[in-house]
Amino acid sequence: MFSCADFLAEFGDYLEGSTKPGIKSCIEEHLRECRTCKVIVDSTSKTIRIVTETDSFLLPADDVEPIVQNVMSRVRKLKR
Amino acid sequence: MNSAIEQGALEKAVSTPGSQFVPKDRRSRLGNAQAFTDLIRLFEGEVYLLCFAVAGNPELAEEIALEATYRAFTARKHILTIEQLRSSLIGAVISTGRDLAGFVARSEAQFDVSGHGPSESLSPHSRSGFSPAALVNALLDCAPVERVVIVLRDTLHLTCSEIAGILNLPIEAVKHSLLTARLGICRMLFHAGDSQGRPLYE
Repeated sequence: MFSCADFLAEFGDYLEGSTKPGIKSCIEEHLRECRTCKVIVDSTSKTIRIVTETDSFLLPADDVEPIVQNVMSRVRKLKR
Repeated sequence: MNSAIEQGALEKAVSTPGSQFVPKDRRSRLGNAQAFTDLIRLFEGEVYLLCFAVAGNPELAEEIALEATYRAFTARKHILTIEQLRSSLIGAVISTGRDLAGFVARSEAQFDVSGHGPSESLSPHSRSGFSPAALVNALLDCAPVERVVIVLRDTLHLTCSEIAGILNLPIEAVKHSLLTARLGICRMLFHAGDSQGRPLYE
């Protein structure tokens, strides 16, 4: 019987889609029966989607531009 | 972010046959400061976010971004492709973080970030309904190595093997840090709710 502890031990690989064959079916069977672990999977997957969205962290151009200008000024000095 | 310079560099890079290569005219002029900064604009968002993850605060992140870009510039003769430029910048951020911020890739927190509030210069987009400040807070609440690993994996889309190589960590340690970070951010967002304080997760 696949326990919650077994599931958590495999959870990282499961999220990465790199679970070993055989284990994946045990996990999915466990998730059909265990609401707590299902909630963990769903909420963590949603979190990954939030973090993965390319514009989750928006850099205001006004803040970035001085940094880029600073970089340009520094590499120009190096060229001299 | 969408300046003509960035667009021009990007269009030249992607429209050149064998588009992963730095265009020949740019490669030959990579020693030119303007050409170099045109190219690094392609990665400015990624580089700054990684610097922020390494540093844990915007001021130090800017210092690291400056120094790391400078280091990549000094190593430009070894850069032939866009992907190599990206890798060079990522490697430079990690090594600069080690030198300037004491960033060490271990599984436990190396320095306290609790004194830093959410950064106003790194503002998460709120269109997904989550609280913008909550995501930055959640990221800052992770240990430095966890922040770096989750940014490298979930935002810059490197593989766990690539991250292990960059951080000189066993792949199992990378996977452990990644899971810890994901669960930690999930927990923080769960408690924070969405931008109106409603539960983010049903």
